[in-house]
Amino acid sequence: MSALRRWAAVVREALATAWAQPVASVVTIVMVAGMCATVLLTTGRTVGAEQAVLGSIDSEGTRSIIIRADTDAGLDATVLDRLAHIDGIQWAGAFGIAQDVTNLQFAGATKVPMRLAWSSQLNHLGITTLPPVSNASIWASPTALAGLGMPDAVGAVVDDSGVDFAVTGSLTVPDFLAFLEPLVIAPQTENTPGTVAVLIVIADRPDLVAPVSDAVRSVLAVTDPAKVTLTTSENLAALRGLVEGQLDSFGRSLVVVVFALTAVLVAAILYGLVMLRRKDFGRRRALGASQALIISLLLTQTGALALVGATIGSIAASIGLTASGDPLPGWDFVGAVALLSTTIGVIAALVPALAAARRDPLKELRVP
Amino acid sequence: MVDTIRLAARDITFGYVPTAPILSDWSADFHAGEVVAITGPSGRGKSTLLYVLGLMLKPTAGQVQIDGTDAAHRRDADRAGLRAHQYGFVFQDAALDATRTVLDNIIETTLYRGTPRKPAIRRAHELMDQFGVALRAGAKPGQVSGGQAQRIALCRALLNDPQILLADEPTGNLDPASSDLVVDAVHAQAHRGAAVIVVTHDPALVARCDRRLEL
Repeated sequence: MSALRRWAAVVREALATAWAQPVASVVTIVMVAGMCATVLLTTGRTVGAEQAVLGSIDSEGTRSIIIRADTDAGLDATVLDRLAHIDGIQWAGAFGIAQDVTNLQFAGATKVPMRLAWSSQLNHLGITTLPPVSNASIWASPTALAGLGMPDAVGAVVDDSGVDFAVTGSLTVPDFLAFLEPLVIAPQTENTPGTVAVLIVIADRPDLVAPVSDAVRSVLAVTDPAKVTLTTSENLAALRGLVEGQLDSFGRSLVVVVFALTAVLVAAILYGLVMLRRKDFGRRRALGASQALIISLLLTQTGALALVGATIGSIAASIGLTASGDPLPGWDFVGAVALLSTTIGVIAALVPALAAARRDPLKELRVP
Repeated sequence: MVDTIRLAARDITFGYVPTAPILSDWSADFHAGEVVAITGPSGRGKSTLLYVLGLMLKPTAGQVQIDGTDAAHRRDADRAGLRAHQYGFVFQDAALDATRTVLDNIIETTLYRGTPRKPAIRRAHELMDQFGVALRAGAKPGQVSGGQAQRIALCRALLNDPQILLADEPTGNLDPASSDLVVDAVHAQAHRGAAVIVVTHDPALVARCDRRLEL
């Protein structure tokens, strides 16, 4: 019999044994589900809170680099081509000089600033297709649309020189562009030249802000560097790192303590369950099962039951956290806890499995 | 066939407490095609001898030879393999898994031998027909009588056509009809070339054995 078929036979026997012993199987499932749910409802809540805190800090722009250039500084849209060669950049966009526009239908209506915009990732702002005539169409944020009196994003605006633009859609303004609100942009293709007044670069990670800033500064290619200011969030990134480190350390300690306590409990109960089945293992040994096979059977059976328990525990804890309004720790964390719970269940079964494999078959088979 | 020594005990000494051996320098040959009864008063070590011969206990001295080669002092995995492939066991109380069906119990040893299930299931049905328990294939051991349980244990022992069949009080709790069925079965296995060793107090069974060894 090939190794694969032999392994399949062990799995089938382990599952059949688990099915044939519903009480022990349910107890194992409940224990592992409880361990998983306990971890998620305690440390998971902490991790969720940590992610919420970091999310709040991130929303303030920990990864943003903002370059402001005077009109005569010489910064133009070709800078985006050069930025494309720098690693560690998640998003980059350039914005032209603001010029006031107003609703074409109402003379003397509220003015809002409009800017030409360049970026290869305008889809982040909700713009999926560029207009065929770049200087005839604009997108506006909900704030800007309210100011223009166009809540449905339908209409036209006119600038001070009398050029009019069709309002094509509503913008989704990410946090890092909030300082440009009310935002109205006329998207430009990347090969359309134009003067850039504001260049925004978002680094992949907070710790990359400093090196990416240096790299960005080196490719600005401006005629007068004195007319360019670069603002970063380095201090905020450092604070974020500090908060993340402290919360991570606390969360890790909590995970270790909770897992250790529940693992000991799981191991003790599994040991008891195995001891209840010692006659079963004695019979198997007498009939020719090797110690390795007994261990494989028990670990496979426990692993399968632990997987079911971890899945149930994860789902139950996620529902509980959602119902109580607590932040979810993220599916990667939930998955990791479920995997760790399953692994701990299997490891906890190792000692009883060894004990089962080494049982003297005669002790169990002899009839007094 | 009876000239072939299938199993041999050579100067076996064994004791659960080393200072008080139950078996001391005990030797015997068991031939292919022969049914041997081991008898004696309770506490003399009959079952212990059976388990030493069945490679479940290691003798403190001496050898258990299968076809001329010592098997008692081989490593655990090898002895388990020999039990799975060469031996058939009938225990005193049948020793069936109460949580599994009769059929599952009979084919249990296929897993330990690493042999395919389908032929084993076919063979198990043949044996169940032969021993009159075919209708109980899907039942749990708790739902069958003591006699049926012992016949099911016999089906399990015979599934792999063992060269050595060991039975501990196989007719202990059986009615005469069931006893005859079991005795016929062990003789049939002996005729197929197996060495059959039976520990028993049953005079009727002893009378039908080819040889008797008293402990």
